[in-house]
Amino acid sequence: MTAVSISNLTVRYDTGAVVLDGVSLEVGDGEFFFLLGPSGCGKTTLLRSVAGFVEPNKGSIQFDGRDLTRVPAEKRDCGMVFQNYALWPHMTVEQNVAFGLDVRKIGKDEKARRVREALELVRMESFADRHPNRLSGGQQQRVALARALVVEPAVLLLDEPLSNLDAALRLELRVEIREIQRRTKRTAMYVTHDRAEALALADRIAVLRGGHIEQLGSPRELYDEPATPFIAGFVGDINELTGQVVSADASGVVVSGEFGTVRGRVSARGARFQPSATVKVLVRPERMRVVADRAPGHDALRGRVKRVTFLGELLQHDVEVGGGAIVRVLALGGTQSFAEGSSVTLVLDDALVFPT
Amino acid sequence: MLVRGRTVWTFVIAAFFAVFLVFPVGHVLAGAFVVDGKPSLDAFVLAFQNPVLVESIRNSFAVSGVVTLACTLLAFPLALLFVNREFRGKGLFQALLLGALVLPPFVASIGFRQLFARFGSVNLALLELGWIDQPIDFLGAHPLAGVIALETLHLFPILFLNLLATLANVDPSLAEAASSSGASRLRTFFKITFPLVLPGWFAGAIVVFIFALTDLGTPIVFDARNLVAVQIFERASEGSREPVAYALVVLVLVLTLVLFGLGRFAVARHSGAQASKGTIAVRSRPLSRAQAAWVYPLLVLLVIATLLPHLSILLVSISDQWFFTALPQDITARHFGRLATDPIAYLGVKNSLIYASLSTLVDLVLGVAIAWLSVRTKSKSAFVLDAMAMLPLALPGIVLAFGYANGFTSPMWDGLPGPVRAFFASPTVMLVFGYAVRRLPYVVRAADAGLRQIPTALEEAASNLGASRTSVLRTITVPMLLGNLLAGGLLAFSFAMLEVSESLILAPTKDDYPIAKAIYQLLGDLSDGPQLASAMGVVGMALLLYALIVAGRLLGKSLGELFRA
Repeated sequence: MTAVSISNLTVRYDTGAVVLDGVSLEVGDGEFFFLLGPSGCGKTTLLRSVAGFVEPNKGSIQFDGRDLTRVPAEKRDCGMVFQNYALWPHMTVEQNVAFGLDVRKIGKDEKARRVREALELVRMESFADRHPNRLSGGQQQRVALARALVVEPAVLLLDEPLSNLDAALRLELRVEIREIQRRTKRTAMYVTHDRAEALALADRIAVLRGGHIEQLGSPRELYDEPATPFIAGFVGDINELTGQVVSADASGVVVSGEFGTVRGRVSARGARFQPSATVKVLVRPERMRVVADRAPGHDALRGRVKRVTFLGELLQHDVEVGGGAIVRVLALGGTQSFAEGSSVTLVLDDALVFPT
Repeated sequence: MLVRGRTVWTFVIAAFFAVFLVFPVGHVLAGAFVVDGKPSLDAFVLAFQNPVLVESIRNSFAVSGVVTLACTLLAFPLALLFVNREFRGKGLFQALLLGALVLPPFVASIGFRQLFARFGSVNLALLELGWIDQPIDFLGAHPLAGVIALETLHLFPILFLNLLATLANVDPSLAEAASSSGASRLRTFFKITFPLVLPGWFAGAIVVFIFALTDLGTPIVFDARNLVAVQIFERASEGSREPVAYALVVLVLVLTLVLFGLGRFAVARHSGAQASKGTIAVRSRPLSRAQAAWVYPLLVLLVIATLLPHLSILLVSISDQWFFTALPQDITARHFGRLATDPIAYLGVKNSLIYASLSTLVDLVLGVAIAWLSVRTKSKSAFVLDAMAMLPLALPGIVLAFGYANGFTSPMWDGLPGPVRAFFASPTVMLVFGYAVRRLPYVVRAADAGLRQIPTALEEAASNLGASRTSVLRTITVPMLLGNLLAGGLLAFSFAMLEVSESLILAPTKDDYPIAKAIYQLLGDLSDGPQLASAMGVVGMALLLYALIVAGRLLGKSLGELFRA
């Protein structure tokens, strides 16, 4: 099995635009590693550099300590799953899957066995003789996965493999991909802009922005301990309030603004807060509760219910706090709702304070 | 009102096709399969017993095959280079290579003759250099070689454009998927790229093959008589009604139809190789220094070869005197001036302008009507008319011209009143409608494409406000279609101006000569005929160049799409 080590990778276009700006990361053996970010952040370029389709201007890519930076794509032993499947239209499903084995001159019997196993793994064994244009999108993506896995690649690369599928199918296939990755224990790198996909599947996630890694960590770390407001907003919904520091100590920072006064955790490691400095207070919608109006403390804000939206499994209150800011609060769908226009208190279970 | 208008137009279009497409083709078929009033295959038996015809058929196949092969060998590597590599001057090279398209090989052969004749520039240059003692008889010894060379130079850009379009449409991730499966570059090319490009190549190759098979102008200038097209021409000019001639025409017709059908089939079956939405087009890499060292010289050489005929006719057209010297001794603009005074040249240009304008008008009216019926009504009859309009793409000029020449003068018209007979048998009518039928596909396609882009709602909004069908068409549809119509019309017009096969066959007297026949006539004139002919060729070349550029701009698509089977 294989560990991937990327160090100081820089990719520039001919026009001078920097796509990747000195990216370094390590992917552990058997790890399911995600590259997450908005479009244009460089995540696909990073994956294509690992695959060997993009030649970096600087930096190196190693598999188990072996430098592959100048090795052509066909010698890297990566199995790649493309966003648009990239199944060869002139070959049957079976021929598509067998191609990599033909290249590797695998004997007839073993080839037949491995193709069958790979198709069974993705539950496509009964479609072996079909041509790709007679398969649905989900089926095509399964075949693409089988084609990448059948050669037992050192690293499996997935470039937004589910983005061309509809929502229901996406959920179904992502569970399957997770299962297959666990069973085969392949080191895998997966590019997506869909945070739900990344949070649900990843061992670890690197969030890219503007060609560099903004934060790298487990899904939980990114969600609970975002390094920046951008990360906080990118991996989940967030409410943002602006205020001034009243006091700061080891137990937290007290921030006061038109909305009231709250106590929050210190976010970024080592950040210092001077009294009266302007800061941001970030609160996730589900880390708050709407309760009947009562006197506010450092864990509570008063407000008026602006709108109540029933979402089925969730219940959403939009509450206007002092200064006019609207705060979104999510509770489980069965929770009792408050009437629109009624005065309420918001109890904050967790708030993060960031310098501006 | 609406329904009546539709019916009237459907009838007019159907009548046009019946008289100017179905009748002449039917006449040819009848002439070949009915001998002495009885169905028979005797005509074909006779044709295959005639040693000259058998040799001509063999020659034609050989020439077309070699031309197609040569075009492929030139176009394939070139297309791969242009799609996969980025290099300085790429656009310029591409434009220069496509330059061959603007010079009909018929005109190009005039320049070629000047270069390669017994006392042409090449021989004289070689003699002067002392490399040879005796002039080499390039053309006399191998007339077919000249035909092959010129047709190849003219046709390889068509295949090149086809391959460029096809290669650009192949999703680059298909090749990437292969290399990430471990396949080498070579393997990826032969197992993935090549099979995917094959249908596109086939479609282009068939156009090339059919063109070479039915080209009349080039062999006639080189005096290569033993080719099918020339054999048909000679029989048509003599007004021959012998069944063998008909059989020969039917042979060509069936062959082109079959090939054309195969090409369509190949493209339709393999449309899955198109790039899916949202993929980056083609990722081309820069040319390495070592590659540039051999790529550039080869490209320059190819451009020189491609443009040699252009240069030579340009030189001929401005040469005052050009005998027994490698380059002309004096240059003059006199020949261009004489285009307005020389009776043959002047009449040729004037006639062609009239024929081409009228035929373009016919094409525009019918083209809009056909496209409108098929896009907006989607009726079965409209579908049939649309298919009919496309048919002439696979109908060689020599076949149609033969059908016109013999069909409209056939004794079966004797019962009709004299003026009607005279009308259909007049060269003007035959040429105008002959040109119109064969260029109609371009106009229909252009109108069709434009019409599909105009939302029906825009027309409905006008009807909703009380505009009649006709006024909707006049005030909304046609103005919005203008760009496409101009493009289609311009192509139809300039191709008609330089049309060869019909022009050579259907204009028997000097007064009716269009440009091509005038050029052909002038070539035989020993004084300054070739110079005048070249001047006409240069004018035509400029016209076609202008038309192609403007049409490409207006249609906003690659020229390749205009030259597909």
